[in-house]
Amino acid sequence: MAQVLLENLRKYYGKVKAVDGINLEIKDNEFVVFLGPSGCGKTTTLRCVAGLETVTSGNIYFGDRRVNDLEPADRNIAMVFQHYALYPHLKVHRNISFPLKAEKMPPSERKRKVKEVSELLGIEKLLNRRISELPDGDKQKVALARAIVRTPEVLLLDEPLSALDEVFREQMRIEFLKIQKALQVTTVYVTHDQREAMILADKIVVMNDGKIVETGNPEKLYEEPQNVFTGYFIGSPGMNFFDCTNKGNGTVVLSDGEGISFSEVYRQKALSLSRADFVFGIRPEYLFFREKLKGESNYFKIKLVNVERIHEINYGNFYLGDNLYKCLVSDGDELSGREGFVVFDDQKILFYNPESGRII
Amino acid sequence: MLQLKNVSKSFGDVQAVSNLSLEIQEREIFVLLGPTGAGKTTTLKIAAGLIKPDSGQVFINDKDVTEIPPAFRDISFVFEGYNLFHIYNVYDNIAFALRSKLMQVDEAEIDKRLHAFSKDLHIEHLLDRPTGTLSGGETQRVALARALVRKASLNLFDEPLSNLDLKLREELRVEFKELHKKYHSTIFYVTHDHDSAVSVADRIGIIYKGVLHQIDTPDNLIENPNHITVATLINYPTINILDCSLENNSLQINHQLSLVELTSPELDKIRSQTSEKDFQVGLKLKSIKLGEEPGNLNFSGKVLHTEYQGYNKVVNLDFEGMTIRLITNEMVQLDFGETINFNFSREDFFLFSKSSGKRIL
Repeated sequence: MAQVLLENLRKYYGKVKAVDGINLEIKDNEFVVFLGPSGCGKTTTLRCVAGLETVTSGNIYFGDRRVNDLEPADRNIAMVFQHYALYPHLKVHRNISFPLKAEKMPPSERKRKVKEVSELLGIEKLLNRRISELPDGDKQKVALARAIVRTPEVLLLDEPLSALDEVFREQMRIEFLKIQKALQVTTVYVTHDQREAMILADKIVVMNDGKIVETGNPEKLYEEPQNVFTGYFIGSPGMNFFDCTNKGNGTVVLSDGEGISFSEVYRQKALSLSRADFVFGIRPEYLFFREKLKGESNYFKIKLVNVERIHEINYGNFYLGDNLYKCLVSDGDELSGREGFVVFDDQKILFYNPESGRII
Repeated sequence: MLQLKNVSKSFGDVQAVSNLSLEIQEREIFVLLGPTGAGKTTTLKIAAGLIKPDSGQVFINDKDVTEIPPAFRDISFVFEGYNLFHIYNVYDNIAFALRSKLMQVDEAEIDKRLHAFSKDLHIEHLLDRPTGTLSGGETQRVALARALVRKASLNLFDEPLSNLDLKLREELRVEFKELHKKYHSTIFYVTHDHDSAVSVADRIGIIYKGVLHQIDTPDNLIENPNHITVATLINYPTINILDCSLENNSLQINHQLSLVELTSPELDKIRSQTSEKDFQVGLKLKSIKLGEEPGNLNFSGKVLHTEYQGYNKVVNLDFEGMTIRLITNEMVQLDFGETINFNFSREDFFLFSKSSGKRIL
């Protein structure tokens, strides 16, 4: 059990600022997911917490203990990697008990611990199998069992599912949740897969360019991203962002010159923005395609390119300039190529600053 | 267009493809979907002529090409690793096959075609660049252009989008369909990525452990799977599978809780296919509704976890020691451990044989 505190953490490799001033508090027992594209610094941050990297500056605390200068072995952490790092020639139980043996735990206690953790993960029947005989999903379960068998203070997971197929991944996510809840262990999980982050996290830490973009629970990051990057990165499909210009004469136009009509409240809000250019953000789920308007006051004109079915929801694709956008459509393919309007839900409009990407 | 007839291939003890038959129509996007190691790439390479099948035949345009080398099959191929020539620039990479001894297209025609395709794929500005300096998405587009520019009668794509990040994949899927609409190419596409498959395919074949289970449109596979593997792989989130046994004319969970009382036509249908007792019930997440519903089958479970997936939420319930998941877009607050009711229509379940995985009802 531990609370983790990162204080102005920096890690530079020469001129490359891999981690560039991270401040973060992770609560006891919290499941925190670092999410971001390749090269955003999420894995480097995790490795700093683990002690596998020395930090350039800043502090790392576990509870009240500053752990900067502690070796990984002295930090009471456990880590699971993408590529298992198991001993393929050893049997499952030998792999799991390895860290206990290193701690010189007596054999009877070791056996009890291994039994306990393997039951938790549903791999008790595999204990006498060799690693090399197991399918990938089971290998990752063994790796997880080995990591948690010592009851670490902090569990660190670096893309543990990305080498698995989607079906195994879904099963393993459910396992992770079960185990994390059962063990009550502070968990830091690194992934580039936003779905995984949404499913697992109590708190998501969105990262880009070595910095934290935003933190929040999945629902908040989805519904009200405070930053364009978050809205784009979270959600599949991601959020639509339209470049708008406030013409100053009571009208707002989109990047292709087409006018956009807001209901009075939002028109006032848009017109009151002190800047001429702003970004209008809305989730595809709150944009609806209509061939004819039915008295809506929030709309603009588009032409549908085609209709795409994602997880049994029909999305219409349309372009403004070179940018692709998505909205909901009621029918399938027959709508491809049709001209019409997208109408949008009043409550779901968010405005952003085009330079900083921050919400206005 | 392309026809594989009873094709088999093994590598040592591993049966990579067993007795596989399929037919791809002209102008169709046909996707072979399955997890890693299912035999997808082997099947594609057999179609290309890069692997010789142990038995069976390959036909292209009704001509038996089983013994014909790849270069003479009038096909193009995009590999997962793209295989661009990094010593050449983008232009020369795309033009490479057209300039080969076999094709010898004249330079004016090459230039014309190349510009048309590079415009459609948004890579016109990259033509002078060495391919080693391109980003992942750009490399992918160049590889697609190089394949499509040949206007081969059949295009074979091995995981063409899977190395890209999710956002780029979403964009390229749309472009891919548009290109296909414009050029009417015939495409044989293999992937493990469910979303790409459902999004681009006219028809999908589900392959697992070398066996091709079912071929149909994405919607039909979802509505009417013939095997538990198909139901598992075609649905995202994947389908609920519940172990049950047939006792006293009902399907029972843990030998005590009746999930579904079966009608006599249903019992007859089961008995005509198998005398076994153990089955698996498949239930789609969206078939399960929160709350009680008279006329439906009603149960209760304990809330384990709610996955917030944006538009929808997936609720995980503990149901008689098994995890059952349902999808909802209702705004409800569910607490861990809380007991809640759920229901489903008796029209909505699938029954599979536990031993063979075959669909029974």
